[in-house]
Order: sequence, then structure tokens, then C-alpha cells
Amino acid sequence: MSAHGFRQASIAKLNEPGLGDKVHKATLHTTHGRDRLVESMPDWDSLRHRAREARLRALDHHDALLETFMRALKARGIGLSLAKTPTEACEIITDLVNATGKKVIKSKSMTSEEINLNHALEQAGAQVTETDLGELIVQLAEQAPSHVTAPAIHLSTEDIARIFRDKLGMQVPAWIDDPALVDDQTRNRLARDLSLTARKHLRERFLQADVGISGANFLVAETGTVVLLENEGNILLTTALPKRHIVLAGVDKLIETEKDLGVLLRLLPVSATAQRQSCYVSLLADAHPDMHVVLLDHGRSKLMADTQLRDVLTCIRCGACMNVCPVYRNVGGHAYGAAYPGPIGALLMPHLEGMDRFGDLPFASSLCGACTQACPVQIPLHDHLLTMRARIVQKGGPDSLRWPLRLASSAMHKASRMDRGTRLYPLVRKFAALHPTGKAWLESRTLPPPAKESFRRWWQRQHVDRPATDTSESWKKSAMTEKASAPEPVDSPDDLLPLFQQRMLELGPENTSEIQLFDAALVAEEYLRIRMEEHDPHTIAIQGETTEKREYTLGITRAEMLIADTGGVLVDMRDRSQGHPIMLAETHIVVARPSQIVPTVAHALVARSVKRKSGAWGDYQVLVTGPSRTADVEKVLVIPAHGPRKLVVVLCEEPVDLSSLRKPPEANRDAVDR
Amino acid sequence: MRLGLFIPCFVDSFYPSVAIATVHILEHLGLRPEYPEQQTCCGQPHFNAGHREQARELARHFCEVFRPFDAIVCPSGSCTAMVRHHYPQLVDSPVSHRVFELCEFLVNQVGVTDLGACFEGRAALHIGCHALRELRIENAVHTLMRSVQGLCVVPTPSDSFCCGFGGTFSVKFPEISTAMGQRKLGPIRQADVDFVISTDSSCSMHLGGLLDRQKIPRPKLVHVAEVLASGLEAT
Repeated sequence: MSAHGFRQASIAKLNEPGLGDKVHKATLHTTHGRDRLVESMPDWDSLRHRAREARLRALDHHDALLETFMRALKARGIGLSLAKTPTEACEIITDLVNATGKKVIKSKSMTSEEINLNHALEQAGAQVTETDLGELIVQLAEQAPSHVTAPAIHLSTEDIARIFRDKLGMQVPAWIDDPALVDDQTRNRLARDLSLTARKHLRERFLQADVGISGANFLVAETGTVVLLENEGNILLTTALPKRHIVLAGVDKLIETEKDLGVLLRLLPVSATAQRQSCYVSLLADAHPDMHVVLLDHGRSKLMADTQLRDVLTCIRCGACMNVCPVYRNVGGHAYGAAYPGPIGALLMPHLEGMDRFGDLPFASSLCGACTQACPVQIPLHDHLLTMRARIVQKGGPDSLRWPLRLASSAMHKASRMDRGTRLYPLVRKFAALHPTGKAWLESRTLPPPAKESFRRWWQRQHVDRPATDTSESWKKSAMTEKASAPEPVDSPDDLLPLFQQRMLELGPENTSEIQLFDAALVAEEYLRIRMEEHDPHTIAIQGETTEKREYTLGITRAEMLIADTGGVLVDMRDRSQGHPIMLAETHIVVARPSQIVPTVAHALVARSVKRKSGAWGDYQVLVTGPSRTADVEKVLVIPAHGPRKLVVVLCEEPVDLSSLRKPPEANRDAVDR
Repeated sequence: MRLGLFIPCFVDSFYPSVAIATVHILEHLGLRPEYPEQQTCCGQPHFNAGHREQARELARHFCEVFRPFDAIVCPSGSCTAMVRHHYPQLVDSPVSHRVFELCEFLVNQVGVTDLGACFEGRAALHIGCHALRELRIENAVHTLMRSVQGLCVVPTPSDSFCCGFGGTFSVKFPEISTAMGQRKLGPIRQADVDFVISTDSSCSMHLGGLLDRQKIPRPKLVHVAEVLASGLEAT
């Protein structure tokens, strides 16, 4: 057994009351949601295939992509450092923090867990606050995340309530010590209260932070874009409000083109959180605030050169493999003692940290193949576990099965030998408990009773005088392999608007998403003015105006694209200093033209490339899909998280003039008349 | 055309009734299966434990024994998947694409969907992981089960769960393996069924062993071949 001792850790976790139930409930919830979405996507398997190709291509041309990416960043004055080891990465980031200020806010980053960044920063005297709800919960509990996309999946609503009571002084109901007393609705209400408490707790931290640290989901080489997906709005705030923004990412996050990104953005949210699109996708290519990218190697270059296993690096960290893994579901993520648990962790960790520490993980799988089936980038995870096992055995580590297997294989070289061996079974069965392997089995299971006669003997008795047969082809009828032809994805423009409306309104309860359609710009503008009358003019932020770092009750922006299949809108804010109307408002109104609709995010990204090259758009776009949300407490959906609680899409074919909204309508009419 | 019978080593020794049922089904359809007596083990235990050299030798032996056959039928999804999916990594395998799990052979190759079997009772259906996810024979198994008179297959929330056996996994990590088995059995026991019908005797050995250790007499583990052979007229 290795120093890490997965078996011992897993025994402790199996004995933890309720853990397996909590993890099963949450992972089954996500898996069922994912399955439903996948069923509605006829091009799912072809998307997976294209994603795999794109990710492998990025590995093939890694050096060239890295150079392109670096050039793109340099052109816009964005800093970049390469770190070979976790220690180097921690030093670079600590220096950047020290040069800016001690108040650090972080959005979720598994790479920062991999290098144990929080510890390094705290050692250097920084105050680090995690802002993703799940991450905040585990930080307050002084634990590590137990899942790559659902960090607090191992905790119940009641567990979290106790943590918030002890660490944040939150008033919690007495029933948390006896949750059987209350119904689901009451428990869900508590989940909502917990999420809102976190929003309140973190608001000041966002506004006062010196440095924001984020990870990255993808780094697009061609456009030098850092891509981040989230639901809560905490990434919008972390990357925009502080003076400095540091991005920490593995070198494996590079992809070649925006087109590749279009494919990956359709797969990742479905696989990770059972959503067609995450609430916010940030596309960052601006240097405001002061941005610095730190790329971590930590064993990745070596793995990239491994012809058999390099596709482990195509992983997009969706967590689908752990959601479906029966081992993970029973023991939870902490048993792995690793930043990346589950099947992908069993492949990655030995490469990042070495076989000595994590060499037992590849054996801790029943090889059920659920991970391979779920993987959105088609990594043959369970086949790779087998490859790892063979390598480890070849190296000759301790292996309790070496002799039993050798004995078995030598017996099986000949049928007659195997037959004689079989006759020893009653004896073996009787004394099985004496060998550790037999004992391990017999602890919880019995062995089957010996059969009176083996099949071989039966066959010999029954078929002694049977002639070798060579009959006609009668048994082989034509194979019945009818394949239903997959329906084409919807893309006729006439169908797109209803689809957009349907998908957008699915994103949350009635009072959180709204669509308004107008023919004339004057009417749309009048509607917006009426909405504005509900607010203090000082708490309204309109795109194009100078805004401050504070809370607003209403934010109004344009959208450049509508995404039909997700109900999302693409907003161009030029740079992050202008992003306040999206991220700091209670209600976000988006004004767009119905003709700006495109079928999928992939189409919008192609347009983005063109518009940015021509200078029509700036260097900061956000894809907004519904109001901000979280499901980090037992997968209960809570709206809002850190961003707007309501999203209104105003559609009008005539161009709406946002700069006229503060003026009285009469003045505008006069202007039109003149 | 010659039809070979590939009877996994532990079926031969522990579950001969499954192999005999397989013979009865094939003969009932007028086929004349042959059992090459030199066959031993496909090498899956060795392969899964990382001992590829030993697995390679057994794979070579297997290919030699089964070379003369046009199709090879096996009452185990797991052993079929070993030959079909993993042999090409070990040997230049001429037989990989000729090996079929029993249900997929009956439905996709022979074209039979109703054998006329009778089997009385309520049952949960366990399609072993390799049958389900590597061979993808879910439809074939369901089609055949639907045709069995007197049988009521009850869907349960744990139908697609792994039983927790996983070969050497079950003895290297016996506690996790056991927990997986109990998660599998929980919803099945709640469904109040008489039987668990399995495509793989290895899964049955694990689930049955767990129930037996706890002295739980119901449900009983049976193999799809045994169900399909029930009530068939002997030929």
C-alpha cells in the first residue's frame, strides 16, 4: 500500500454517517439532469467527438499555441509567467499580491487547490476570501473541496447551517439538529437563507478587495482570451472590481480557436451542472484591471509527451466522471486526499504528484465504464486506468495478487490442468479465509457452493458421440441494425425566436426572467423610462455612462447577440471597468434586436472574432444566461447569488438609444420631429 | 458455419447450469453449438490486475482454440467485452469481432426476439457494466425479457448501478465493493422482487454472496440464460 492509503481513507469515509447518502443524492440529481439535456441534443456525440479533436489538436500544437497566446497578451499589456512547479507558482502570485495589497478575493480554482495557494498567501500575510459559495463553505469549515465543480457536495444543509452559525454568527433554526421534524420546503428555505447570507457577507469584501484571483476554464490562443464559466456572478466581481486580477491556470487549458471554444461551451455546462449554459461566461481579453496570467506546468509537459495517456490532459474539469463513479459516490472526494478526485483524479494525480503517493488510485475502480461513457471529451478513462495498472505492475511494486494470479494463469495454460484445479475448489473454499484475499471476500460475502459437476464434465457426458457439425448458414439471419436518423438541430431563423423565448423563460421562476417585445424604438424607450421610474436615478447604471464601484438597483445594457438554444445574450462591455451595470445591479435589463439571434454559442463566437478584429467590439464580453444563481447547498436552486436577481430582455427591431433614457421623453420627440 | 461455445472458467466450475441453459437455448433454435474442450480462461482477471504478460498468454491460447469458429457465443458480457475490446491490445486477434454475448447473438445475429420461454415471477434486471456500456446490448436484453411469459421485470433506480464486483477490485477494496453492492441491492429489495436476473454470473456471485452472508433468502439471483431456457421444449 502506498503512503497515501486510499483503502484506509475510504474505510473511514464509509463509516462517516450519512456521507454516502449525501453524495449519492447530489450526484444523482446532476446526472439525471444531464441525461435529460443530452437526450434533447441530437448532435451530442458528434459534439463530443469534435471536442476531443479540438483538445488533442491543442496538445499537438501546444508550443505554437502558447507562443500565439503570449503574443496576444503582450500586445494588450497583460503580464504572463510560466511556473514549472507549485512552489514557483505560489511565489509568483505571492509577489504580485504583496506588490498590490493584502485583501485577496478568489473565485473557484482547482489549480489553486493543486498548488495549495491559500496556504502560501496566508503565510505571506494576505487575507484570502473564497467567493464561490461552495468554496466559501469549505473554507469556513477549514476543509478542502471534495468535488471539482461542487466543492461542498459532502455537506448537508444542516451541516452548512452549523458552519455559518459558528463562523458567521448566522441565526439558524433549532430543527437543524433534528431535520426529520421538518418538510423539504422548510429545508429548501434554509438553503436559500444560507445562500443569501453568503451574498451579504461577501458584498463588502468584493468592494474592498485589492487583488482578485481566478482560474480559467479555457485560454483561447488565437484571440488571447481568458474564458471563465460560473453561475453566481462572483467571477464577474472577482475579475473586475479589484485593482489587480491574477489568472492561475494549467498549461493544458490552451485551445486553438474561438470555433473550438464554441464546441466546448456547449458541452461543459451540460456535463458539469446540467445546464445548457452557465449563467455567466466571461470572455476576458482586456488589461483592465491590471491582469496577470500564471501558467502552471507541474508534470503536464511530461504527460503531454506520453503517447498513450496524454489525452488525460484534454479534461475540461466538468466533474461528470466523479458524478457517475460508484466509488466516488460511496466514499466522497476527501478519501482521495487529492485536489482532483474520482476517475480523472486517479489518472492525473499519479502524474502530478508521483506513483508513490497516488499509485493505488488506478486500482480503486470496478472498471464499470460509467466515467468513459459520461466524459464529454471522450477520454477512455477506464481503459487508461488499466494502462496505469499495467505500468505499475511492471515496475514491480508490492502486489498481494501477484502469486494467486500467477498460479491461476499457469493452471489455465491447459484445460486439463484447469479441470484438476477446479476439483480442488471445495478444499479452497473451506480454507479461503486463511489467505488475505479470501478473507477480504468472505468478510461480507459467501462463496458459491461447489457444483456437483462442472459444465465441461456435463458436456463430455452429453455430447460424446456427437459429430462435429458444420451446418448451413441458417443461424445467421441479417442483423437488425436499424438506426433512427437523428433529427437536424434547429437553425431556421423563424424557429429561433420562439426557441430563445422558451429557453430563456426556463432559466428561472417567473419573477426572475422576463421578455418584452416592441416594434418601435420610441415605445421601447418609453417602457424603459417607466421601469426606471421605480428606482432612484442615482442607483441606475446605464451602459456608456461613467459608473462607480458600488451597488445599483438597475443596470441597463445592450446585447449584441441572442443565443437561441440556451436563451442567453452576449453583451459587449468593451472593458471590465464598464461592466458594473451587469454585475452590481439587482435587476439587469438587456436591450437587443430580434434579428441579432443566432442558433448556438458557436455562431456568436465566430461573430465575436470578426467584430473584435474590426474594432467594433471591445475586449470584454459576457455571455449572460438568466439571473445569477447557486445550487451549492444540496443542489437547491437559489436566485440570486452575487449578481442580478432579475434579467429582463427587451427586444425591439428599431435601434434603441440608451443615452436618451435619462432625458424626458418630450425632448426626444422634439428631436425626432426636427 | 461453425458455432463455438465460450464458457467462462468460473461459469464452467461454479455455474454449470448457466452454460447448460445456453446450450439448451441454442439447440432449441436448431443450432449445433460446439464446445472446444481446450478452452480455459480469457485472461480478464490478469488483464484487469495489470498483469498483461499473463493475460497475453491466455489470449493467445484462446485465439488458437477458437480460430476455427465463425461465431462464438458466451453467456457473459464481461468476458465477451474482454475478447472484443481488449484482445486487440494484447494479440493480433482474429476472433475479437466474432465473439458475441448470448442475448446480442440471439437478437442481432439470429434475429430471434421471442424464444417462447416461461418464467414466473417479479424480477429486477441487472445488465452487467461491460454488457451495458462496452457491448451496449441493453435493448437486446430487454427485448428478450419482454417476451418471457409470466415474467414481470420491475425497473428500479439502481438498474444501471455497478454491482461492486469488479474482479480483483472486490478483494483489493472489499469495503468499497461491499458498499457498492449494498447501494445496488437497496432499491432492488424495496421493489419487492423474487429474482434479480443478471447477464453476468460474476455479478450474481457478488450480489448473491452479499445476500447470502446476511441470510436474506429473497431475491434469488438467476442468469438471463436460465430464464430464457425455462419452459423450452428440449430438442
